[in-house]
Amino acid sequence: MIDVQARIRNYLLADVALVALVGARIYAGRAEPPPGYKPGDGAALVFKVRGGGLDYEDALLIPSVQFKCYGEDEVSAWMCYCALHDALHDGRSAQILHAEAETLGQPLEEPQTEWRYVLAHFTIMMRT
Amino acid sequence: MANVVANIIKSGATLYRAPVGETIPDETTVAYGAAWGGNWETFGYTKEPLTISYESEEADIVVEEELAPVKRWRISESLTLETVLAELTAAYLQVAASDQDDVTETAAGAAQKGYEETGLGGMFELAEKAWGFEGLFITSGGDDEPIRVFVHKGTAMLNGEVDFSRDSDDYVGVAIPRRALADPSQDAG
Repeated sequence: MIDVQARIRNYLLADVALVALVGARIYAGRAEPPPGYKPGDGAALVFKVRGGGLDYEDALLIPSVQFKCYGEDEVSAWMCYCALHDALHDGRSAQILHAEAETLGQPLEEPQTEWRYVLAHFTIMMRT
Repeated sequence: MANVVANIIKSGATLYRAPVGETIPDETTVAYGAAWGGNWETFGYTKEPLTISYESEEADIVVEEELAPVKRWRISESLTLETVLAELTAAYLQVAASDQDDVTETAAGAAQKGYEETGLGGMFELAEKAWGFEGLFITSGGDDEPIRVFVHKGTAMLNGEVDFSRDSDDYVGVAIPRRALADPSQDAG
């Protein structure tokens, strides 16, 4: 099976506008940033596959992916989300057949750390 | 035939229209997403996917000596492209109505609001146009290439209701199927 999360991360790292905001702080397979990260370090993107499936012939993997866009405050978190949306919605590549937003982002706050983030979900059709 | 993942398509489509006989865009020099040039024109935003349907009416040839038909002929066929325009303008209304009237535009001025005026009804003849649409094929290398379908001659019609509703959670759309006509100048098949 292909490594869906690695492909998504590589795809996002190729987006100049997004990387200008988050740098290499794109963390795959996580629900929260890794230990040591602080919003003061700059915006960060955390994502994990939350479900999905395959097509009839197993030629495509179609994961539903949860993204959390962190920022130093709610404004920078939202800008991180906007850059993610621009990079991924209707996106395509040699490996990604099609990506689209399931819902628009929802601004939220981590209950324990009070970090601001935007929660968003995308469906990504990926060639196997 | 082999299974080829790259042949699995996920694409929207852009509709084009031109006078009958217009040269089709060159497959080498006109890239995916580029304007087709010449007199080809597009129609702004659409609110529903473009659909294409081909219907074939067939006649079975039955003989007394066999239970099943021994041959089958096509006796008529039809091709329809359909979408719903999201933008409501006088020009797009005429596209849907097969160009029954010109659209007159009055520019805004100091004592004049700008507006468009056009007519509808009383016309027997339907405007024949060339139609085409373009979709997206992504190669195994990730390059964008066009998928293009042409109807060399066809007419449009205003289909169904144009729904003006304040209560609805939807917005006004203009449904227009384009139905193909036979073009004997083209090769069969």
